[in-house]
Amino acid sequence: MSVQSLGLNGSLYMGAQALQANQIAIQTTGNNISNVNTTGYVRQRANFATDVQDTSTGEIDYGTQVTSVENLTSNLLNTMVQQTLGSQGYADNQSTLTSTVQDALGEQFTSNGSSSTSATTQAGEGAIQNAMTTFFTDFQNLANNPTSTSARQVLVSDAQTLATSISSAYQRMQSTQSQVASDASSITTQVNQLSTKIASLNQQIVTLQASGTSANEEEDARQSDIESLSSLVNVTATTQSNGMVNVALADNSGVVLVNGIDSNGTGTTQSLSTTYSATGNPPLTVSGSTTGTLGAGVPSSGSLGSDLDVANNVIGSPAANGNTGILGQLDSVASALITAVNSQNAAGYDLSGTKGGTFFSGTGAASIAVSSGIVSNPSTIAASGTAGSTLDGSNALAIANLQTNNAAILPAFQTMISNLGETVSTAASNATTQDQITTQVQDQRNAVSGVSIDEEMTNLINFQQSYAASARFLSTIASMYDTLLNTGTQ
Amino acid sequence: MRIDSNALTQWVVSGSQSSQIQLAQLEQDLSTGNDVTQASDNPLAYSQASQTQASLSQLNAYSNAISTATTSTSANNSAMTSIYNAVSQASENATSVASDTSTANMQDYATEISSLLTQVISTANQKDVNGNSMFGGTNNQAPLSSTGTFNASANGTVNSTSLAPGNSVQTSIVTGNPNGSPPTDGFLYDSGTGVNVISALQQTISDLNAGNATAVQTTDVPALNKALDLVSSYVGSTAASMSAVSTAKTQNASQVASEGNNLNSLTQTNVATASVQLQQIQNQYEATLEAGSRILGLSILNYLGSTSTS
Repeated sequence: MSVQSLGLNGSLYMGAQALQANQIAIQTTGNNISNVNTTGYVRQRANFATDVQDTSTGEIDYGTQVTSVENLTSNLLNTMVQQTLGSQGYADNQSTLTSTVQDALGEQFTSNGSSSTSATTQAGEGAIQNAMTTFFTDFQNLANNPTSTSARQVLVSDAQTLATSISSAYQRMQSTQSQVASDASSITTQVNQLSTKIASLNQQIVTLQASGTSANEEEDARQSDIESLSSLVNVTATTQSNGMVNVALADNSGVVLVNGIDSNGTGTTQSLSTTYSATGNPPLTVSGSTTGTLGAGVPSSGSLGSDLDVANNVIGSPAANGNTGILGQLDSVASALITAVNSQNAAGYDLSGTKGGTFFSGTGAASIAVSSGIVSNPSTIAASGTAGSTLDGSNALAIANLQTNNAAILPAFQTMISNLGETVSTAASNATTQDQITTQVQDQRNAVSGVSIDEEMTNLINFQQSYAASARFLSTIASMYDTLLNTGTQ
Repeated sequence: MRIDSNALTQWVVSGSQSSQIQLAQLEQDLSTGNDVTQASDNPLAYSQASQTQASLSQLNAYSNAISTATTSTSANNSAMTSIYNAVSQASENATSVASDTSTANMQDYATEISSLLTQVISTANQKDVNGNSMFGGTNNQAPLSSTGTFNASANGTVNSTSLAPGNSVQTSIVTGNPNGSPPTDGFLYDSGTGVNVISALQQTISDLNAGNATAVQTTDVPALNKALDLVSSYVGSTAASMSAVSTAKTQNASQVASEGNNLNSLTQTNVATASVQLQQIQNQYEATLEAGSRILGLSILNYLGSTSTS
């Protein structure tokens, strides 16, 4: 077997190639180290290959060269991260929003600091249930003292507190719903902006790749933007043969957000927007710029999906506009309270022996109030069951008994609060679970794409030594040149 | 599995965050004494606590009713005892006429019984602290005139007070009203036996003033004894009402204590359990910080530096 000599010039070329290759590798390592904390950065690797050149006498090895600087990434793991981020965006937002709804409703127990053996150690504070039980207790006290002016005045005051508690809670729910809708609108703006960025990066990547330039950083940025988009709304991202990525809603593939370099309504793409109406059914909807209003519950995931669910299902609509969620249930409780108390009050007689009138005005949670006639003259409360029997409190007792006899009032309210608590608790649990899942999938991806400083430093030493050896090789060849050139002069 | 540099940092941060969240929750539970303040803390416990709280509120209302009923039934019993004593004294005086028929003495007896009649009328017309007539009925009318004439407009309807679900106790009594439309029965008049306490006293006074000893002995004394029987039955029934109210009071107090304890067990922090958990989480937190401080400080950079200088 004969080995072809490169000659000193060929050896010089080989040394220069090795220096350049190791320099690129060191540069890549430096880039990895400097980006160790950059979100979305994918570590890069300089791929070395033997520089083989064909000659008339066969192949000659000219050392090494860097054929590419590769992004070490996994499309499978990227897709998994993207999907879990959609679920995490939904779960985290759901946990925060449902908790906000619960806080806004203001139903909670507080301790009065009594010992554990004390009887009434807890009481609802500033809450509807507390106001409601106090209201019915006042009627029971009035039944025992039907002629008592102070008992009637206390009852009127507590009835006003109850009515205010209900209407205030209703307003707080609507305000919270409006804030959620505002958040949803902000999210669609972000979705549209991210779509534009992704389309722009598609353009840059194709342009760079066409000129033979690496587009690793642009691909990292695009993947990061797709993941940001996924946490806002569940999407499917499809990589095209030309390297571009198209993005569409996962719940409706007809709503294309990015198509190559098009986005935000250009070409076949659509932008997203929201519509909110407190009296709408449902109150909050998402629309595509050409498709129009998307179906109920679309999108179903991401922060936007959570906003839709909380606004339309958790907070819901009042009785007149769908009767769903907290608003519907609160409206139903208020309506049942108004109807039942008014009906029973009308069945009795007041202190002057006159038939009872309306106790509560209004028709639901938004409008409930104590009737002006009762407020201005508490003696018109119909405590008596018989005309002229001022010491008879049987009708007041019948109203007090509505607390337990009418399942549509206090029991319905208690069920509503418990169900909301279950929703909040489940959302918090889901958020924790989803965070763990996302962390696990991200850890798996980071195992492929993340930068390890120890690894990079080891590589750096390796490349540094290779660079030094290559330099020594060049120095040796140069020395050989000197020897050869000085042969004739000695 | 390959580990990148940020993974270790994230795990330490995540571990310490998890511990801190649990420590904050336990600290709040221990400092406030409540581990269920919102429905989401424990939906089932909150639901049960809400119902218990509503029940407690109702029991407290019943407690107020019992307090009022205690006052009413006690006042009723005192009034009945007072009237019983007055009628009893009148009966004794009338009976004494059998051995002492002198006109002067009979008139003395008439004067004394007349005073007792005034006392009975006054008692029957007495008012409660709210100024309501106690024995005229629910339409709040004085049952008798100052001379002892029954007020036709007093309805004579008695009141009951609900002291617990399904437990109503009669907390008012009435004089009865022969002039009512229809006539009603009470402690001064009974249509079944025809007893009229006021009439019996008035007739006795009249016969004594007239010096009619025979009528006093043969008619008035038996009538007064029947009146005494009627009033006596009301002394008994009001005492029974007092007893029923007392029993209800005991049951109410027991239920309030029981429901209060239920509420506490549902919502209040178990200090012993929470303290043990606090210690466990504290240990976990310290272990996370210890492990983090050891792992995060390690790097090949430390050793590269020492190698190059050696």
